[in-house]
Amino acid sequence: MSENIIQINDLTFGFTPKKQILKNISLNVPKGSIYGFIGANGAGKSTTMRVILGVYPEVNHTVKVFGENIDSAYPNSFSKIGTLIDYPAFYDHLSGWDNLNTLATLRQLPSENIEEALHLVGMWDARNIKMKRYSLGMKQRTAIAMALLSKPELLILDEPVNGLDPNGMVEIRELLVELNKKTGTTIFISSHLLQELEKMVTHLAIIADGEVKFQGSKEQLSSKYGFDKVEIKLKNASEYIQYIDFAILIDNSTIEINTGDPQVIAAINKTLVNKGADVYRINAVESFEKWFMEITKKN
Amino acid sequence: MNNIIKATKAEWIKIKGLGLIYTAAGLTAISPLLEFVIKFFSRNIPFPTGISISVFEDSLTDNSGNFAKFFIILFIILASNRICQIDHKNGGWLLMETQPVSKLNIYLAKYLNIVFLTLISICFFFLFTYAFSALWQLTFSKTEAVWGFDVGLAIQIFVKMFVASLGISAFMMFVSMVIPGYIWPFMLGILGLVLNLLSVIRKEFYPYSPLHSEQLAFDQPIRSLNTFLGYGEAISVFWAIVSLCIGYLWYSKKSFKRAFIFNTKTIGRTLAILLVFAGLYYFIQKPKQLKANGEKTIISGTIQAKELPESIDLMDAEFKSVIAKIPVKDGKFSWESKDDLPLGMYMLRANNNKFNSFMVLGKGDYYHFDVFYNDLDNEVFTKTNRKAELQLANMPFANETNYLSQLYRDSPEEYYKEASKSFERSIAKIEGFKTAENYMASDDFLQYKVQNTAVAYLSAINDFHSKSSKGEDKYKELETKLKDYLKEPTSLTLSDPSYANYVLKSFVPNDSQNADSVVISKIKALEKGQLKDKLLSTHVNNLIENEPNLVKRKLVVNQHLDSFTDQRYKKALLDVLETQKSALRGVPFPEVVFTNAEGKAVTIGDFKGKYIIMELWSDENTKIRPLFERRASENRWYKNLAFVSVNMGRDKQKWSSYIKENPSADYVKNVWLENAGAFLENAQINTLPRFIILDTSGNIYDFDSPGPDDIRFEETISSIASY
Repeated sequence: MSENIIQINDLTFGFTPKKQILKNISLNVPKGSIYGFIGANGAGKSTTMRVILGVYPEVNHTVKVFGENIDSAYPNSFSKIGTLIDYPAFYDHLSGWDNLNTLATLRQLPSENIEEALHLVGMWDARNIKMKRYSLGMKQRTAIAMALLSKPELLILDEPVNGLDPNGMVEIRELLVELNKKTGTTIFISSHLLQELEKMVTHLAIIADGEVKFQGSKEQLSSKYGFDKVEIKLKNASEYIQYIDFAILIDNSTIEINTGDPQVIAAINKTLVNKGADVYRINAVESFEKWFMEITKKN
Repeated sequence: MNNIIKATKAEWIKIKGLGLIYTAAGLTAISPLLEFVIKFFSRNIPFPTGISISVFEDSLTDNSGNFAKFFIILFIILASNRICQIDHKNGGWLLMETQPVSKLNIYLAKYLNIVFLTLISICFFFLFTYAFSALWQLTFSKTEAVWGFDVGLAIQIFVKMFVASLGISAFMMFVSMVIPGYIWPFMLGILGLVLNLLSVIRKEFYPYSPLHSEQLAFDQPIRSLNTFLGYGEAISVFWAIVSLCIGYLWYSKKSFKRAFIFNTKTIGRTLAILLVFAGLYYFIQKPKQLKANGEKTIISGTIQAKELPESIDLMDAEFKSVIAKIPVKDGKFSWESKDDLPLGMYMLRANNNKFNSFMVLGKGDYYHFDVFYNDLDNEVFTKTNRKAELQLANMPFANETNYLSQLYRDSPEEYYKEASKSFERSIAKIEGFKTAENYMASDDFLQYKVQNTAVAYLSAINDFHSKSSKGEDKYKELETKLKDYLKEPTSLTLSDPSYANYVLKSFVPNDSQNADSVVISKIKALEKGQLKDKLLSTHVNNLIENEPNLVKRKLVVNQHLDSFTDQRYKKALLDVLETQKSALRGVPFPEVVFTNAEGKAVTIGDFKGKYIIMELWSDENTKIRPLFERRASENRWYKNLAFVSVNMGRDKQKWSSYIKENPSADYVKNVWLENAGAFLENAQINTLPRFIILDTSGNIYDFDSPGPDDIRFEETISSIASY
């Protein structure tokens, strides 16, 4: 059985007893994984991460990091953790270098770590400029550099690519995947940008309305909720739906069918053409995003 | 320890670019710079004030109060606000709290940075103060430089400023930490400063304000403090502990509720903390009654001056009699006695009349004086167990009566009602009085002060009653209430002239015919003792004060000399008579005609209704003239005084040129006397300058008055001056 870096067992949390923000959450983040934590805005991602980091008080000992209850693990365990929570935290009156230097001093790290982290995120040239002059993307990169500074065993990143342009997103994604592969760093990453995580995570959990709807590997998600669907785009769809069994009319130009069998799809296409339908396009709708929508919709 | 050091270092990096060091430098430079500018614009005044203790110390002691009571507090308000704001913005707290350091270390690191910045600002203060004072001395100063340096005093000021700032820093950090905005912590800080200002105006202390510790620490001159560190510093440390403890708990839980009233455990902890702090506060702020040494009464001191006196006289303030002559050796004096000195008012006076100091003294008390003087001025710093009594003795508590008598002139009932309330407020103030060092007066002195105040109120309401007979019931009610306080007058009250005058006034019959004989017979009807002696002595003194004729004065005194039980009263009266005789008091001044600068004639009659303080000077001796002008300046608001400077030189032209080159202010009349030689010869005046005081009728009050460089000059002026 693989070791879990983060273990949450039945976590319930709220700022007032009457209003629970997190409900019976259980999560296991395996060592060496890239664990995607996905949910819409307000679903409870940031709150969960803050509880994991001990920022919000958790009194029932339901959260462990590195196998230890968080109230005893912190602050020492923070030396093995790099974080970027929510909006990137930084001191805008300081330069990028000084921001990293503050953390390097706290973590007693040599200046080589600062240089390396800045080079890694492409912020070396701007290191002496005050952060208030940085663009949002530059701030985000510097914040990632701050998280990577101590070469941590665990990275907890809350929406780390917010504010980055598409190229920047790809760069950071590649950087994190490479880091994970090279050093085995466990990455617990959240996002509402589903496509972005879909391509990089090994494990994932989906949270909606403070409840975890799913957690496991990507394959487990696919097999559990894995019905294939085909979407057929055609003119006057309502006229032709009668000729196809178990079809769902989405709108007057879209019919959806639950099947993954290519022969069935070919037969349906033939039937529609024979009946005089103008078929524009047939495409599979199976996707991570669709899964997400399905899971959250069910509840 | 390692964690707190690394957290402090990280916090230090974070303040980079906030401009706090520049702010510290700017704020600390203001006071010494202002002093420099003021001195620059007043550099041509011919009589610079103040005594030169040393170039550095003069400036240090002048500016340390301003800096400690205002600028250092303002700096702490700004610095703590800025330092906490950087973490309130952009998720700074979250960033710090996800680092391998505890919240306690984060909190303490921030506090240590504010403390360190305060330390830097104090260093800047010393640097600027010393630099500007040296610059002044080397550029524009006209006084002789004294470059001495009292390391002990500088260290004491430094340490006091620093320790008294600890509580302010902790409190302001706590406030800035729990209130995220910039405005409210700043406003709270300013409120603390306003409260400090109010305490100065109202002459009160507010130890419950965490921003008040510097005010307490620097209320009194440093050289006069009984202890190296004192009450202000203790209050500061108390507020530092309270603010750090409550601030940290609040910060660590990020909510007042979770920190203090979350569950039974936290409520119990909160109550325990409150109990401990309340007990600690009670213990610290409880005023101390300093006890006497025991058997020995000790008086000691140091004197720093060019010409030292040979001895110091310890005198009884009531009888002006010398109790002990204390020799001065190498600028030091010391006296011990096991004699049974009754608690009373005493005086210490240098035999060269360059300084004196008032004392409340009794058996077993100790006094230590540090005295500095030159021709211009003197400063006496006193350490004693009678601090509270000394301050209380000089504080008036019946000031409101004048204002009330004006306000309720037409409604006597209201007047008596308000006067009664005012009296109660005064008594509460007296009984609650404590010094900035948290000392309170002894019970017997407090009783005296209450009686002294009751006398002042009685005199005031009697005056009011004599002008309006309305509101008789209320008057009687208040009079009875005040008289209740005087049923058993203390020995101090019996020796108090105001009490004696009050009793004497009550002896004066309503028809005022044969008033004197009625008063005398009433005094003589009293039992022998202190009251009878005091009343008689005061009455005779009043009679001879108003009698211009020396022979008549002598007659009055001789008539009553044998009536005294205590022979000191007799001797005191004879001394007064002798002094008046040698001063030629009451003798007519010769008719002379002076010439003023415009060439017009000036006579003594021109100043009728005023005491004339006359300086006779020659062209050869002008050294003391600036000092005469300074005394004239100091007393210029008294309407019954005229300062006249008479040149006795032969050459009118020479005098005319001199006063053109050295013009006097309006409050000194410059005149020249023709045939001055003949005047001097007739008056048997051999040396100049000479100082003569004439009374309001133009007769002699003192033909050989002490000069303006003599402490008795001021005493004489204050005994005759009125607005």
